[in-house]
Amino acid sequence: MRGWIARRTLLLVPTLFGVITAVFLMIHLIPGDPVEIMLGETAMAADRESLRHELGLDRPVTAQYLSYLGGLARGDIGTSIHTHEPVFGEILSRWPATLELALAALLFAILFSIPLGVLAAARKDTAVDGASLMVSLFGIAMPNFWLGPLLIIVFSIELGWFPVSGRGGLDAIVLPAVTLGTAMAAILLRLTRSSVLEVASEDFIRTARAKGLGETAVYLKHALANALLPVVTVVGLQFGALLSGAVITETIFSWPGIGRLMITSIEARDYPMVQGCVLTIAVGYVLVNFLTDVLYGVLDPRIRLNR
Amino acid sequence: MNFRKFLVPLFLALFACESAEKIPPNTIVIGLETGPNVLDPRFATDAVSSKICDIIYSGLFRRDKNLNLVPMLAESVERPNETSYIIKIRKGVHFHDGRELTSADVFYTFQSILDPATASPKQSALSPISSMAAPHPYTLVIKLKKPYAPFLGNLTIGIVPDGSGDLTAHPIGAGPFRFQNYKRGERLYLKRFDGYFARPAVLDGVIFKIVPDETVRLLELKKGNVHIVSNPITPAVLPWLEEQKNIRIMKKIGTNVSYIGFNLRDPILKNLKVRSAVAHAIDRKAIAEHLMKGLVVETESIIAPSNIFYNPHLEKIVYAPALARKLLDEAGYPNPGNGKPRFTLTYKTSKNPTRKKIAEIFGEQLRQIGIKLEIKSFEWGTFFADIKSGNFQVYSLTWVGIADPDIYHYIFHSSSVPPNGANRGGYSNPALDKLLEAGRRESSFVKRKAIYDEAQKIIAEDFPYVQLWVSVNVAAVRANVKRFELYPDESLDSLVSVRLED
Amino acid sequence: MKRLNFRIGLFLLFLFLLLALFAPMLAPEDPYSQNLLFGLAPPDAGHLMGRDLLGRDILSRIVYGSRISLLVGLAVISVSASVGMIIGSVAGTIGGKVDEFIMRIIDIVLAFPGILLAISIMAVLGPGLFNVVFALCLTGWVSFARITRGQILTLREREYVLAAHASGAGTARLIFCHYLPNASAPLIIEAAFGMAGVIVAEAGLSFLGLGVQPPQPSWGAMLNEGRPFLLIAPHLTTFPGLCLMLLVLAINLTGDGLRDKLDPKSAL
Repeated sequence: MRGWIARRTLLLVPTLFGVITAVFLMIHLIPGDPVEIMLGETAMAADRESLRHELGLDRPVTAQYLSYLGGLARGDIGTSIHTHEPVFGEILSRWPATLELALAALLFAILFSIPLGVLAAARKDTAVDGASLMVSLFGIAMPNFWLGPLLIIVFSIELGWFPVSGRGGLDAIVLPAVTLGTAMAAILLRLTRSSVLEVASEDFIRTARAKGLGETAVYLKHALANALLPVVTVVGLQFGALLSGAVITETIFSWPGIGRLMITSIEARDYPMVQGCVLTIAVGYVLVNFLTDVLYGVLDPRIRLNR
Repeated sequence: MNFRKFLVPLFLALFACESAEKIPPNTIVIGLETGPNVLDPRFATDAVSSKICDIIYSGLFRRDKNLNLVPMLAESVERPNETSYIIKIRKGVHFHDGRELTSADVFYTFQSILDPATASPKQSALSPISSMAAPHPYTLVIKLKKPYAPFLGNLTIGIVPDGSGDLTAHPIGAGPFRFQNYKRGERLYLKRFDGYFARPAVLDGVIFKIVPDETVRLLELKKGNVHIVSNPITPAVLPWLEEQKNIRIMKKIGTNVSYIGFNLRDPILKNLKVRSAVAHAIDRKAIAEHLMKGLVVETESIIAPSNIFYNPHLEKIVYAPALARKLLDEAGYPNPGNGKPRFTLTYKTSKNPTRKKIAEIFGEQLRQIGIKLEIKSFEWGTFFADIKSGNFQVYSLTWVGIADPDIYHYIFHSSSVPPNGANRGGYSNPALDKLLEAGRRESSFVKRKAIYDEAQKIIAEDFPYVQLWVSVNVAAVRANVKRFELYPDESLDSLVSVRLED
Repeated sequence: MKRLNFRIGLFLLFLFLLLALFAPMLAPEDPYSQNLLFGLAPPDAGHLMGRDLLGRDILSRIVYGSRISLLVGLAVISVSASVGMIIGSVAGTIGGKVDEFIMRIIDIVLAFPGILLAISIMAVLGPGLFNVVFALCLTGWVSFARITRGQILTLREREYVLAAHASGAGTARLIFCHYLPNASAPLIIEAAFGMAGVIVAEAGLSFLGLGVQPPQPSWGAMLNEGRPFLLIAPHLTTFPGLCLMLLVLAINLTGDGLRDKLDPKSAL
């Protein structure tokens, strides 16, 4: 196990390197110039040139890339072009908000979908099952940018239960977490139901049933544990997406997360900031993948980790 | 590996954070779409940063409600000759840290902007300066390389303390509000500066709360968590806002002027009759009334009507589709019949939703005269890069906050083709060039006005642009906010006198 | 019940297909004809779903919009599912270095900001419907690949697979006869739900200037355009939202039915 972890950690390097290089090339090659965007329409040519020179943007892309890598090796990921603040500090201040929201959304999705999914499977083809289908369809077809404001209107404006937007306090996270977690809950609900059903038709379950175990016990003890594997895959995938894909939720709820920072930085062509965001998000992804794989091993001893 | 041992404390740590922050007493909350990038006047270029810097710092001059230049830190200006200025600086002005502001600070501020190593984007604003001196704590002498009429208008930049580096992390100015803290992406908190040289603010503080989504911003206002929401407000939402109790709508004509720009190198568009046909096919009045709900007012010049240099005698472009069709026939583009267009134009716009809607209306209106308009909307960086490099046929954009008519040189002089200026369509008119050069040298207001009246007339007749409209600044304000005023340039100066009632 | 669900699903899908194919005949009005005087007008007898900001008939725009939404949804999901399943199967079956390599590529794609990718594609290829499909496929295959691989990892140790392997079944045979049929449940769910996601994502892209350009209607874009008017004109978002939901319902019911037919065990 320890060797496996060490190898996985080592494998981080090529992944991160690949992401950094791809992003660097893309952001520098697409049209749009941070200096033009920053100075606006009335800027004088002389101001643009001197700023570009001062920022080192007048050098060839390869030189800029090498000096970025050099900085990276020294642990320096640069200074934002637009805010003049160190990228590292800015990103560090955003991560707690991002993690908090992603975990809360995940928690909501799991708590909501797994029990309901098992229930729907156990009561297959009944009204409960039908209702769970409707709930999950509603969840997936409801875009965030529609659901979020609706939740605010109902629960913050009409009922006054939660703050409208902004971060801080336990009550502030409820609506954003539900908004972000709904799509994931919908997928997990369907997935749990179907994989429980799938497992339920397998031989060992029928054996358990034949042994005279009660239906609930069969589902909880045998079916669920085995059905969780595909669920874990999807949770892993989706959780990664929650890290950077929360832009719309972050925007609606004025949540100071990394997703919004990255989008505004891309729009402003704030190269160092974009690079920094992508770098930390990539690390986040890889860590989540890593945990997913470990969980695989825990849930299904048949998968040998040290393949 | 035991996950519970690891995850549970992590969760607790994450959620045990501070509870929602309450609004401090006698403090006004202003909802903003984005926060300021920088809080140092030497670097502030975006609208939000500039607006906020203007209430943290004080400059030698500022623009008042009518965009006239009025003295702030400058007590008087003497001009011994065309190129020299002797500026007397007000006594008893203090920075937020208690130090007195003297000519040395002004000298330092300008010096550091002019120093290329500072990489200030405002370098060219001060580049007419050939030398400066601070012979006395309250006197600054500035000499110019050559006469430059609009020069004093460039001295509105906020003054920073002598020797300061980048002040964004902890701004110190001599303005009515001092910096308290800034959580990027969340809020900026300013407090009243009691030692302000003029009458200090009534409020204890101002919070700029960053709420990126417009609907949510308005809901925060309805709920009372925010006191003021200003531009942009989607026009169609105005009737709903007006119905809300405790919210009033304020409007004030602004300075941002929108236009349609043509690429004059284009074989179709270099024909004046085609450009004129497009101008007459667009029903500005219908758009202003129905889509924009009166938040834009038709105008015929890039100089806003509130500006003293505006020429009020320009001929109005009338909506006349029949005339437009006739002009296209004459231009050699007859109607091919059976629903086919005479020709197709590609129209570029940014991804801004209102701009896209306006583009769709233009498309429909041009279809009426037989022109097919293909709309391409781009993300801002790409769009701006295309416009700058002349990679367009037709586009639409807005000139923001034009105060001095010298901008005509930058936009229409034949030497101002990018990267030297913003003559992106490649307009060239020797008669206009001469006028614009003369306008730069002339220091008599009456003569300058006559020059720019003529320049505005030439542009209005030549259609390198189709002038559209000037924006109306709008704010939705809670009823308990008193004495808040809108400025044409969206300045926040009136916050000094704002009072909050219970 | 189950068979009925499948039939309802197929029927609905068929209806949507008809809607898309015969849009010009079915739409009550010209979806492009504007009338600024009636901007945001609520539903009435003449305009069953009301009108949008420019006074266009929402029903007609939904009918036309079904073309783009269905096309984008179907194209993206079929391409990314096929590509993803092949890559995932290869990774899961061969394992070792190949698996490692593929997983690293997947990590890179996942960690890459989709918006940057979209802007790049738009800059290089220009806006257009095909480029929307291309951009969405570039990231879409990943989840299918990961799910397929994950399923294969569990399945490869099962008795019947071990037995098949022992009896000399080749890799291709293992993939197509054992792995993919047994991995179909999560894949079909991912496809059905993914399609809804794709239709909504198309709106996000047209927002960036990639893809469907105004005034062409698509459901995603209509949802997006209606967002600022949620408070004052909810019909702008409600109807495209409901259509999207119905389509997702149809795909899911059909998908469930298909899975039951594909999976020999569920006949029990």
